[in-house]
Amino acid sequence: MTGRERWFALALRAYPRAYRAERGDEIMATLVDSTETATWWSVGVDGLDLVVQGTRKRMRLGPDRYAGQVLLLAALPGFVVAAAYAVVQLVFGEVVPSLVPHFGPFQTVGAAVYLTWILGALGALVTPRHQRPLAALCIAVTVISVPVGDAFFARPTLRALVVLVGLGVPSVFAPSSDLQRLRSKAVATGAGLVALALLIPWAVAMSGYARSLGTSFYGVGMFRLTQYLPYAAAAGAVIACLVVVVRRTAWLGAGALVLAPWFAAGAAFPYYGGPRWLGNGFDALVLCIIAVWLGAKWALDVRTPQPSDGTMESGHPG
Amino acid sequence: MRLEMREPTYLVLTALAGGRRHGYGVIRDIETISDGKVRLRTGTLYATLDRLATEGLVEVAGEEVVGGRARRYYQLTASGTAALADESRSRLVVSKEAMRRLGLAWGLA
Repeated sequence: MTGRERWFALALRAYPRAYRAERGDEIMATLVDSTETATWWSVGVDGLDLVVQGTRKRMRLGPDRYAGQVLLLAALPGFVVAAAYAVVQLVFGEVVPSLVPHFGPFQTVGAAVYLTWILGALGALVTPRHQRPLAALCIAVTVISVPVGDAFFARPTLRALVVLVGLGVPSVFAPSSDLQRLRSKAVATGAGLVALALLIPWAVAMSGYARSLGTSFYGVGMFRLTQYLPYAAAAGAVIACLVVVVRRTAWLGAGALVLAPWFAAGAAFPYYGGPRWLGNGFDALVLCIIAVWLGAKWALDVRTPQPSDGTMESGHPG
Repeated sequence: MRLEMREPTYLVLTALAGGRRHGYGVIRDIETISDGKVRLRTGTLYATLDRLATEGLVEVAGEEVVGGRARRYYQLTASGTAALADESRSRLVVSKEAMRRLGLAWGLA
């Protein structure tokens, strides 16, 4: 076995055993033929592509499985909601004339992060086939902003960044769909408008409150984030249940996935999280409910074999 | 509501419209069809073939062992042929209109 074949054999282990037993030889033959004159870089990328596709197959993330459908439906709406959130953060958190800026005319490096998300989401709406690399770029910029902001400038609160990353993750891991769902664009636009309608009044109230205390929007607004949004999210979830729960469970799962980052941020940073009559555990409780529900649905789906899990029946030559 | 077909899918179906192909044959055909612009990775190819099989657009069309390695051939189903024809007609209408507005004749760069 050559070095190239050993690399491909290792990458093939990302696939489930049954799939490897059925299709492994065939895939290896195609790999060896198609990379006969390829550079080492191309061979490496081919192996990584195998790992990605094999992991998707093993995790049952194909577009015909529940998890894949939820990711697919949540991807673009999540990305657009992240952009709406970034608009609010940029306007109310980064442009504060009464405070000393630390990153050009802005308060923190968050300005660059938010602009990246806004442009990335616009790009994904215009050319959906670039959605995955654009989301990956936005997540990478967000992650890098933490050490850069800490070292050289100021950065937004981790709570804000966690929400952005959580909303972008479905776009990275969603399976490819041969038949683009045009309806997803309409849902994404609607979700973005709803997010703006919820976030802007909250941001106006919080920035006024921050000014009265003589502090920044980040100093007050972020800590109050999860006190009010869960009410709106819970109301939306009840409405969704009433309308679609019987048939459109994938849409319901997608909605839960878009809401999850907000509750994750509240659970991770519970300084003022949750209404007082429930204590600080409200966000963690909702996040646990979402995680258990989606996890149970995925686990049940994984245990249910589907034709796309591997073996294709041989037909007659054409 | 018309659904859009992604480019890799369109290329895979177009490659198979020329007759049954094995995996490497599809990759090679796509490179030729796209004038070298598209090189489909093997993992992505087989994920696409699995998906198209689930959707009933392609099917397995025989197996051979060549040089000690298994080769499986694929072909379009009747549904796959119809889907490819529909997509091609739609793209042709748009392309013709674009060429007309640009004042270009078919076959000219």
